[in-house]
Amino acid sequence: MSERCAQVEPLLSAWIDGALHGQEWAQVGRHLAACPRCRAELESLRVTTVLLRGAPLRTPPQQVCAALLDSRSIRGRSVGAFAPGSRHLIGRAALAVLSALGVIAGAAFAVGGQSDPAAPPVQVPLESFVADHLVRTTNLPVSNPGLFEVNP
Amino acid sequence: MRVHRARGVQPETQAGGAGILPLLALLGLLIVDLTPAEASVQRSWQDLLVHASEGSRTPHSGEILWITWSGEASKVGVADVISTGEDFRLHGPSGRRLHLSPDGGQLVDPNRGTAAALPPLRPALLSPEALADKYEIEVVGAEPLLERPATMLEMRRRDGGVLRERLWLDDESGLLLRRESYDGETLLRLSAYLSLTLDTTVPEGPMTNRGGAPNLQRLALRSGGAEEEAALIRLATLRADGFAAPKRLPGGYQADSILHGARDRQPLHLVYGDGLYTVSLFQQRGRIDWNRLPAGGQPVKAFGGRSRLWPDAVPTRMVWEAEGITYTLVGDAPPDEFLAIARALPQAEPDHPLQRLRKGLSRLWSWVSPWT
Repeated sequence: MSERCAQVEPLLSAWIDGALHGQEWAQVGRHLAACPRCRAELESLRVTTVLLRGAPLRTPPQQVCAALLDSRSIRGRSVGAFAPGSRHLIGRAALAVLSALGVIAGAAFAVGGQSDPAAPPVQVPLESFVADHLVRTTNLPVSNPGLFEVNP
Repeated sequence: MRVHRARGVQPETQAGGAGILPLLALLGLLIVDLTPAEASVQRSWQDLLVHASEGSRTPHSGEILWITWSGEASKVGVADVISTGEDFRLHGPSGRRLHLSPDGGQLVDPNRGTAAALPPLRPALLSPEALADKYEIEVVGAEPLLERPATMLEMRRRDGGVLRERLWLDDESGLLLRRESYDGETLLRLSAYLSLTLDTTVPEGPMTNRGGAPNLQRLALRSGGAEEEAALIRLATLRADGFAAPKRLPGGYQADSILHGARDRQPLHLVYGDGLYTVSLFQQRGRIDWNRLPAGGQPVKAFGGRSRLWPDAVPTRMVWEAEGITYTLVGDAPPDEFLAIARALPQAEPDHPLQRLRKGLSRLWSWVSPWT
């Protein structure tokens, strides 16, 4: 951690809360722009703040706790459900045929959901669309031309 | 946040029949104590936004910082800004240069060796009436920034009270000094001036490049009179031609303008706004060429496999196809409203499973059969 990071870190919480002003506000902002480490710290603060604000603690229902604790009942059910039929040869063959049909059906299902090849393909000039959108909506008092730079 | 919350409405005076002396004493106290910051608290949000609208044309220069968050990812940068009021230039850390003006502009990316011509800037879309329909706007109070007196506004959705925006407006110029966009408690975007100088003279530079952008016709829907009438007729014609051209979209977004070239020229561009956020809907006839889409797009569950959303991009962008038309939605609307708008537009009808299976088997057979 650099000396500057050590100076900035205690101010991050106040910075994200909008409680810093004047030179202090600008200096922390400039440092954040140049320092990935402090940005990561800011991000974790932001997430923590959001989580603390938004997530009340809840106690799971008693049945859920009981079911989780009673591991024997879970083991017993799984063994009982799958053991008997799997030894039969016919069963295995049927399983193989069903699997093959399943693969074909799955492939057909996937292929059947694709675009209609008869329609002509069009290129979507996404970056150009984004620039068009920004320039036509940027002249607001609350607009944010910095978004042009965010756009990759 | 250490702010005092006070409604920014006209102060109520209840002098009634009280004596003149206490009233004069109170007036004296007000004259002595009323600082510019406190004076700004007494402005209504309408006044402040009108001032901001004028302030956006204040000549200035400075550094602007922005941070955007999306899930776990964040992006940050600082750009130099210089503006004469009408002519706006931005020079970013990546070397990109943006020039906006009423006569047209340019976006130069020296890293890619590209220079895109941009269309002329248009008058502001912000409408206090439209804002008031959807948002509860509160003047929070004086919040100095950059050692300048400033006033903070909060905007919340009327239904549910979800926080959407916090704005810091410079008391003197009306310039927007800082903006925070929220989705409830979650901060999505922050942009703020780190330094600011007013009354800047912009030198002539190599950025200036007028014209070159497609000369699209623009029909404004909220202009009133003959132009609005023409725009409404155009919307109806577009619908008859098979395009999606609703007058309203969910969340209070109303059609603002139609941008198009000659008849049937593509893409068609419709702009919708709720008074604060805007979304653009682009439409092209044909299916998506998936191989030429930018990387990073993810399918949207409700739209099946024929859609892509770039969740970390700012502004948000989404592409999908339905009924032979490719739709692209771009906008700064909050995520829940953005998806609600997309869902209200045409989507590929999900095939009945058996129908989809039959179509797929037929295609598979056509690939392996020697007779087709």
